[in-house]
Amino acid sequence: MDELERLVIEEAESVEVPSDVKAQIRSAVADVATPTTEFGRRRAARDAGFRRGQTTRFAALSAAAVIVAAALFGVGSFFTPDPETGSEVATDLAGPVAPEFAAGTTSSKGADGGGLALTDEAMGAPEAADSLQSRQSMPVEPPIGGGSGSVPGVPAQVIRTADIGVEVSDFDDAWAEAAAIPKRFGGFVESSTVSSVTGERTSSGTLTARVPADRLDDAIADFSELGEVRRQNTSTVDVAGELIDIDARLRSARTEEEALNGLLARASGIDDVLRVREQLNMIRYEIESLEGRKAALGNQVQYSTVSVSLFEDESSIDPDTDPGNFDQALKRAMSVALTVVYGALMVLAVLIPLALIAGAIWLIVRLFRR
Amino acid sequence: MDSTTSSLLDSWIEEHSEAVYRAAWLISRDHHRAQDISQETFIKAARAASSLPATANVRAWLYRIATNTALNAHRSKTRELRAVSRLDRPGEVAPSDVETREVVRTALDELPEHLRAVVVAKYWMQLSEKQIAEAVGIKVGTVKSRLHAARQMLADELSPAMEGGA
Repeated sequence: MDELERLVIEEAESVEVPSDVKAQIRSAVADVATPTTEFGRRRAARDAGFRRGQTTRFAALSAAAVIVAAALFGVGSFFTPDPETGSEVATDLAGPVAPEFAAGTTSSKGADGGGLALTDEAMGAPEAADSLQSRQSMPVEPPIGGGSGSVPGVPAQVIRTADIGVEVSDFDDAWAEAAAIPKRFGGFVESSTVSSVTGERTSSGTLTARVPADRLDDAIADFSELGEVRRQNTSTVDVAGELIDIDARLRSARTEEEALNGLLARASGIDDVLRVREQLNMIRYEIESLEGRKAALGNQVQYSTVSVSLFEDESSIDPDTDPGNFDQALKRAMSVALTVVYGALMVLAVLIPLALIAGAIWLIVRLFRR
Repeated sequence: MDSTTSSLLDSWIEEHSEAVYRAAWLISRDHHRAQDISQETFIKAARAASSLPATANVRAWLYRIATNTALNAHRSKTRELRAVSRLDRPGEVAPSDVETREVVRTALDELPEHLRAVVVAKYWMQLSEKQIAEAVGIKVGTVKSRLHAARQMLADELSPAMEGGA
């Protein structure tokens, strides 16, 4: 054996090999062999979410395209003769909306005097929309009471929600005031939407606010002072039972996770590692899901949700006396008249050359006959 | 991965992982990197296991993967690692005053990593010059010249130790 070879081999043999090298390698190989690891599953879920998101966005874009096309067609066919008039009216439609909410505003008229126009923000909070629906279907209950989830002998963990409808004399002022109320009590506005009745004036809106549970009554009192309260619902749900259940399931899942970790450390083959890992991934997924649910419930207990609808008295925006409407009607009448004149001119422009040609032919025919 | 492949991999890990780790350590001079290289070697082996001919020399095949992995992993970090290993070294000490092993370690440390890899592949992993050429992606002639250069440098560094060991 070469002297250098002997020295290199000695050097190699003197290297301390950690006892867990084999286990680490088996674990790494198993990781590659299982695409269903936690990471893989999360990535798959994210991809699916992305695909769902893409589908939703595609549907939304398609719908928007159809609406825009329809609108353009309508406006275009009506205002073709005078593009200036068309653009004026279009500007009018978009103009008078409160600037901070202009993006999400539409002009449809709803049953309660103003159609609800969901902003992007509100669409991004399905939970808020769901809770609004469930609140509206709930009976009015006293602020504190035993819900279906109450547990005897256990402190209540109450989720409080409120829904209030207020008629105001001046929407813009009341809206600005309403938006400032949650902050006053250490809360925040979660989402807001505004809509208009006539297409010219913003006259109703809804905001969803989150305020610390112990300040909910104060906040409701302040919202009530904005005008005449037309509707008010408060509901409570005690989630103490659900939280106890979650805690018990979490304890059990963590014990199982610990046992599986022990098994994983002792696994002697890649197949064993794979089997234990699969179990471990499932249990970790469950733990994360339970922790998420617990945190969400805790947040809802800590912060009450209050949905506030503000709307103007409809008599204050009588279309017949509204000068804006008279102007608009006049413009529309003018543009209709212009359309008729333009159409007539177009017909003449086609007919006159034809008539001239026909006359010329007739003259030639007559000359030949003679 | 089917159970045949996983049991095959198990036997490879059982038989060769320590040797691969030692080689990785000799080339990388770092425990964490040696662990990464060992894991990466067997992951590559797991991926390619199904296409390995039944008659193949598994040991040589695995060691080729390990050498290639170690060299690739080491290439990007060479400068940083060498700077750190110099800092770790206990100053300028005469070879006659320290253990032979320390002299060998220092001498190997001094080798550029592309020379160290061929020395480890040749003398520890017992790969042929042709196998080293395939693993590192160089010509057999280049392997020979690198081995010669490495031997020359090591001989200069190790002459007292080699004399002592003889």
